[in-house]
Amino acid sequence: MLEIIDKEKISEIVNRIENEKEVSFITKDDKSTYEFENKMPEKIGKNLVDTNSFDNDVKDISNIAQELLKGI
Amino acid sequence: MYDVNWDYIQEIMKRYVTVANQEFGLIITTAEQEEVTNKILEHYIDHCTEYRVFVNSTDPFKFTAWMGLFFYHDIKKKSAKRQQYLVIAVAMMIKFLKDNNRNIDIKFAQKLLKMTIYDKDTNKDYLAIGKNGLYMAFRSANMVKIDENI
Repeated sequence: MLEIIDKEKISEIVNRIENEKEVSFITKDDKSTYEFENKMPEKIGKNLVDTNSFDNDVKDISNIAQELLKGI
Repeated sequence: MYDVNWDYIQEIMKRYVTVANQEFGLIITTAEQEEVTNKILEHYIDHCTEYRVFVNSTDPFKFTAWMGLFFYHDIKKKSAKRQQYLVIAVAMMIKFLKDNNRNIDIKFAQKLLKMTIYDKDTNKDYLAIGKNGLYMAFRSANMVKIDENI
């Protein structure tokens, strides 16, 4: 079983960097006019958090990676 | 409050680590995942500050492009297979494009890879694109729209 970084650790890293740099990673104010430019594209985000898509994603990414390796 | 973003980051990392291990036999420890997450998020915040970008969600192209480059140039720089760390990141970004009903020619993606590798591995870095260029290439591909008025 592969070990993956947990969400609490990610949150901890973000909090540390935010404190050090005195800036927020995620804008907490309403900046809706900027949303289009910066938000996670809906289809990509939906796929990422869909647990059923994981195995297919791994297979697709592996196949693409093998194709890429043929030409470099 | 913004947990969904940590979900995105974790899921991107999970796919990357799984492909690296299952397809290429590469081991990425949780300590290395933490180290790369640190580097990416520090760069992410510097980028946002410099360009006055307001972020309300994780950009999968930024995170993945910079992850591939930090593994390739820093964390796994002594690995004989380090090129594969970059290849997986580019493959993931092509997959993101496909998830968003877009695609990129594989030969063009191979050229992007070569131009990224030129960044620090040759004495011809003036011919390279670097980590920000790699991210912008894929992000732009994802943003392109057909203008019906032309």
